[in-house]
Amino acid sequence: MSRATRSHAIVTRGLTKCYGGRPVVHALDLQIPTGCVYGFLGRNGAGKSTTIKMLTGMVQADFGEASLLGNDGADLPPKTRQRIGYIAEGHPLYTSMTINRIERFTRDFYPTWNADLFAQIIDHFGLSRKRRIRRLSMGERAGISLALAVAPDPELLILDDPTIGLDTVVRREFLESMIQFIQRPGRTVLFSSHLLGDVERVADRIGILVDGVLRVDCPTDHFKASIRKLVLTFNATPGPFPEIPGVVSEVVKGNHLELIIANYSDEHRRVAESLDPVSIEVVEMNLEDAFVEYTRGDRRALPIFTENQLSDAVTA
Amino acid sequence: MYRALVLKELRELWWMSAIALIVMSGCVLYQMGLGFCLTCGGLFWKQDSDVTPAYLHPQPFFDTELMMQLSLVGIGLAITLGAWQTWGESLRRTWNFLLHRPVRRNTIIRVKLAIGLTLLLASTGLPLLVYAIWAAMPGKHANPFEWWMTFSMLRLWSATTVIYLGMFLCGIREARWYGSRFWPVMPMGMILFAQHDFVLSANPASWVVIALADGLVIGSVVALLAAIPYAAKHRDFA
Repeated sequence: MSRATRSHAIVTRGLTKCYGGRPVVHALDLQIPTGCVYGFLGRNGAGKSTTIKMLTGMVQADFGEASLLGNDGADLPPKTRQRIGYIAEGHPLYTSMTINRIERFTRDFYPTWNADLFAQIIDHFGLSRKRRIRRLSMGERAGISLALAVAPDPELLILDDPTIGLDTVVRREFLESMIQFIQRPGRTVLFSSHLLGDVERVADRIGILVDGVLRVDCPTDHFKASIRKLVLTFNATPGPFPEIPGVVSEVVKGNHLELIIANYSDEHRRVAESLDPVSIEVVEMNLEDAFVEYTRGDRRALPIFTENQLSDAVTA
Repeated sequence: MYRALVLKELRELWWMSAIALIVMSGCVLYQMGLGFCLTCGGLFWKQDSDVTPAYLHPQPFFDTELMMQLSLVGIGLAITLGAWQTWGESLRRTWNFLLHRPVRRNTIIRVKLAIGLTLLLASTGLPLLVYAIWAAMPGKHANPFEWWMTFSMLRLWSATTVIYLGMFLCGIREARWYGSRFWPVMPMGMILFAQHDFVLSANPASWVVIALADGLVIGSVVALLAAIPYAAKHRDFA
């Protein structure tokens, strides 16, 4: 076992999956430290679910490897699976079962089953144990999924878009339950989501997949600080901005030139000033705006990684 | 954990098996002489009525009608069980939930197969067993009976496992379209048809052919039991 897999709950190297000859996940190198809450972001079809399914061994990788808690993700031994909670997209459950029955079915697999914790989460969502799962709303099913995933007290929790389709209140309740789990020391969470507000609330690190390629892997605050919107105002219609690294997109709106810049630095400022605009406005962005602007930009190939990852990449 | 998997399968499949058991029992009871009066809507024993003795009890286990009924019920149940256990999981999108349970994937598949085969063979086999015991009892019918006479039916009964396993493989393997998905069940159907045909024409002169047909069935079962875990291991449960 390498040093990386001991200190990291999840490690992937060159993980690749192709469908119909097209790579949906391409050479994914990911290292998620133990104890981290990792938000996995990307637009529809970016490859998030496929990545998670490769991690949990549901989908076979075409190339590369994944390691979860030091074990090969493609062939996780039962003892390791006991330490991993997983909620698949859409909260698939046996709908003919009652809540009681699905608990009995699931707990038989886990020697560390925490019946009190399960009961707490069920109570939190106000559910009767006699109800059949087919009669539950999507939000209630999400609560059952979370309770079933968390009750074995796993070291690693993997959630594939767990809040999709939930209303604001249920989403908040779900996140609160998740936060309770996170507060236990040494727990690692990987969760994918479209809802940036959720990610911003709980994730201390994010990764962004764009067309199957990991373009961002850094602390959440670092990402927010890295993306800036520059609004340059001119007396006339502005020309194009010079080609320099970091410019994700540029849009001309009347006499304004709006730029989205990754890894914003003094150099960008100097180049902007050299165009002699009337004014320069630097706009800070929340995670959602930063994500949207970053992923829809026409020049996306601008990776944002933390410095230690860059040095790792250089030395590798 | 085995208990949980077994109970889950039994809970999902018992009703199909129960229907097949009831239908098959009805067919066997009919052979044993139980009749249904359409006009009065009640059951009666044919020997108590004025049914012509020649039609009262056919030669047990040499009656094509019962074989046809066994074929229909057995194949129907085999297809339903095999499809439900595999496509059922796919349609409900529960593979990911099930396969993430901390148990080897092969164990999950083996439990499914064990329960499916047990239900298939029990629900069609138990009525036949009762029928055989009845037929072996003296004074129940005016025909000779030797236990070897049950072999033809036994052969047909066991051949339904090929259809079940073929259907299970169809549901668990990856395929681009329905034509290619169903290919495992097509040769299995042909084997069963051949088996059925040989069974019906069974006489001492065709033992070699019957042995070949049996070998084909056994070979198919072995091949399918090897192919199913392989397909389950290598397919993507996306």
